[in-house]
Amino acid sequence: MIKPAEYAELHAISNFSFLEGASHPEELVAQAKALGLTALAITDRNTLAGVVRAHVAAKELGFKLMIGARLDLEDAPSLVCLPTDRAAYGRLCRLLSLGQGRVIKGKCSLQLADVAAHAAGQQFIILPPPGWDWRPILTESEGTGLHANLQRIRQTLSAHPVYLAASAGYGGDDCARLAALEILSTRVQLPLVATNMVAMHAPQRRRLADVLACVRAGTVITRAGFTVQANAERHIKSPAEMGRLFKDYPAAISRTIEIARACTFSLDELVYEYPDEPVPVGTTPDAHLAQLSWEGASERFPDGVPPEVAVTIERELALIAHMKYAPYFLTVHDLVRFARGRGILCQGCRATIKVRARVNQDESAPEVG
Amino acid sequence: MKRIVSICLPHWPIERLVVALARKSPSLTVARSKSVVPQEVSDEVPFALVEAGHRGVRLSAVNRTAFSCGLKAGDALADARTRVPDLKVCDAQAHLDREGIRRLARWLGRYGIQRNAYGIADKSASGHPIRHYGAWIDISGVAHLYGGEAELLDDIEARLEQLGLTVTTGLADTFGAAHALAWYGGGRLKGEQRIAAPNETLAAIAHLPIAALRLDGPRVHLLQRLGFKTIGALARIPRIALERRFRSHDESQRVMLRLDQALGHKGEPRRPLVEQPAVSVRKPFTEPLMSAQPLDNEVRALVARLCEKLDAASLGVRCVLLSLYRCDGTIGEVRIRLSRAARAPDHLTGLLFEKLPALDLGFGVDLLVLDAIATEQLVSDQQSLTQDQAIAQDAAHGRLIDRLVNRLGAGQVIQLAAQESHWPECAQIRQPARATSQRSFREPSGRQNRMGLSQLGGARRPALLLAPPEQVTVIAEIPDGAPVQFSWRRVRYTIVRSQGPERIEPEWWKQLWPAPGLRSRDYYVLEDQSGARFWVFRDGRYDGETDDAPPGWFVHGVFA
Repeated sequence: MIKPAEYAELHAISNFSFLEGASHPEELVAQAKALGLTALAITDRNTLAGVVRAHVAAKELGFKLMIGARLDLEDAPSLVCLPTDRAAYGRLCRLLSLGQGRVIKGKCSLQLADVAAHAAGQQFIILPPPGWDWRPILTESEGTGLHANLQRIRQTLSAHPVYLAASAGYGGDDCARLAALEILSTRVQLPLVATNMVAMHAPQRRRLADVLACVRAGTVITRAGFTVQANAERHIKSPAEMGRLFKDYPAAISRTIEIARACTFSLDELVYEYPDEPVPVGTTPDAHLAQLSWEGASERFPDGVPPEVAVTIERELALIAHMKYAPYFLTVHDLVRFARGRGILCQGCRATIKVRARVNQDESAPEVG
Repeated sequence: MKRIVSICLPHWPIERLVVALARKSPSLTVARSKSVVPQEVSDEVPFALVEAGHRGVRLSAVNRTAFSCGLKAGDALADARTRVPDLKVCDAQAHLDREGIRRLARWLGRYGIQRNAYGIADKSASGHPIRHYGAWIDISGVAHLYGGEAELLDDIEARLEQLGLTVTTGLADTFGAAHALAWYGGGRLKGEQRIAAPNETLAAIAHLPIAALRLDGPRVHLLQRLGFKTIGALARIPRIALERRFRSHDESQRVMLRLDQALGHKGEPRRPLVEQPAVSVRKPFTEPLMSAQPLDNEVRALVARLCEKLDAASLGVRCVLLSLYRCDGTIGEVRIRLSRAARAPDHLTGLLFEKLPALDLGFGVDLLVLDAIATEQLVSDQQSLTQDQAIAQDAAHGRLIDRLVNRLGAGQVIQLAAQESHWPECAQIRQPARATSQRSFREPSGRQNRMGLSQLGGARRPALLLAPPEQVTVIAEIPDGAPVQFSWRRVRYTIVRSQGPERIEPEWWKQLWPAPGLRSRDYYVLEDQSGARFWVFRDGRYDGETDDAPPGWFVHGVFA
């Protein structure tokens, strides 16, 4: 027996890959945690839709979640894309928006060149296509089929870490298949990395996965034939079991940990960012707002600000500073000042909206707030 | 221009019964409704068919004697009995009438391929529905074979009268006009009068009454009240003037439609009895064939002619119908089906000869027709230069299956076919033999065909599958190592090479009820020292959670 190794699952689809994934993102995270995986990547097909729920679950359990997506390309094998940081995550989002904007809802059209344009900070794992035949690898030297595709991807994405996925799905020829992949990976110099191509969190979900496959193919279960999988091995497996399946390729297992470590991005880094509000040079929004507030107070109370009002103003300014709302109030101040200058009645929130509409109408000023 | 013959059989139900009784044909006299069928119906005594109808039992047809006694179809039986006390009656058998007229229409195929029977629903004065029976034939381009149109009609009438039927005929460019001539010539029309010459339809039917236009009672009545006695009168007046006389535009349109159909201004497509065969050959005989030997020769000659025509059109047949028209107005048919399109005369002749002896020639056969009913494109087979025998083998295989199927029956010959299933026992099904090319297996669930068997990827399937799998004792590593040694049928095999495991889960949808009995299997391909290869599986898993019984090992197949 191999001693339990560390393992991180780098490719798992949730039910946000419609009619394919058979488990909720929360279930995948919980199962990965229970089996003792180091990390789990939720990588749905051409979407990030599943990551929010996975993130909430992972945060509750204190588990490391990697955010990513599986990119189905039109001119190359599919790629799993794992952004390492906040900026790379932004690029992945833009890439997906680009692909989804090109075609009708629910589809995505991407090509390798698009990926290359958004590749900074990403890690890529190439997935061999489902019907890939490993036998030619043993006889041919190079240049055909998957080999050519891998070389092209490696050249296009040469500046970025690219790996080749290997899985052992109990297909009967796993041993030979892995050996062929190993040969291929040496030839094209793409390191092999283990994944179980997870589509369900536990083998008990096989029936649901089969039914989903039938719905996808528009057939019924009794006529499904090869539409459905022969077994239920595409579930999350423990580090010990993955270690046993890849006992001849320990590097493929340990590389999953390296990749997981490189992914430092967490959804926690995403907060709402208010558009820049111009303030006089040499001051901060908070200071500027405080200054304007005291000026306004002294206008309203020409005989001196009463102490209790001053206390309230102090308290509110402190709260605004804490919540970082100062730019918003500065925007409102601009609007009110504009309105008063034009003699437009303004009061409270509704006035703000009216003014904003008027502003847009009059000067086609950029919308704010 | 088409030429249509309409045949009017005014006394069909009664005459059919008379003929059937005379022939003692069991099929014609077995009544569904256990009614008493007379042993004999003479034309001398008043006779009528009755059926339950509007307010009591009513006559549906009467014979000549009854007619001359003043009875007519639609009369109440009680009234008829009062007037003619010695009236003999029998239940009408409308389904047999329809069946019979259809059989007659089939026989009429000797005059033209496009033909069919028809029935016209009418209402008697008392409101009782009456059906009139007849048939139509499209004889376009046929009449010269009989020496002219009048001679053709004479031939039809002579033959039908010989059968004991009262018949009148009409011939015109349209069905409507032919119908009018046949039914409303009053039987008095003979010779050329029955025929409306091409493009002179109106002249021929102008003198016929309005009722001949196939209009229903109220409309005919209205037209008569308006003073239109004949079709000619109706055709002469302007349409606008007529339209005003009717209640609605639709009403007048219906009348006009019938007139237009009769005069050929509007088309009237009619469904023929059988679809026109793609290719057809026929051989009439002046002296009816009475014995089998000449028949065989004639059939062989016919098949040869058919195949020549097929060859010229690059067609092959899937279904052939040989019709033997007997002198007595019946028809014998032999139908053969082929599993793949063919046009080899020997093959077709062989298949026909298998069935010919079962046919009764009756009083002799005076016309043979061979129709290719279902055809497919079939290009000539290339005579191979490279001794590639695949084509010849396919053809031979197809011929064998055709012979077996035509002799033993369609369900009796089966063949094995691949079926998409991961579970080995289900990967093969038996299906009725169908000699498609061996190189193109037809697989179920067409959408996945492109994956097909190749989706099994590197997984191998043995040449021989044992049913059921046989248990063996095994030495293997836990949990899923390949066996290093196993004993099967008291022989011990030491394994030198192995591949696997291939994990196959049971098809759960087949096991919803009764309770699941199958467990997942891990298959291994094992090779022993002598090079023999086995397909061995472990039933159940060592690392399974819910397993109650320990896993067992089985041999499921051997590789060639």
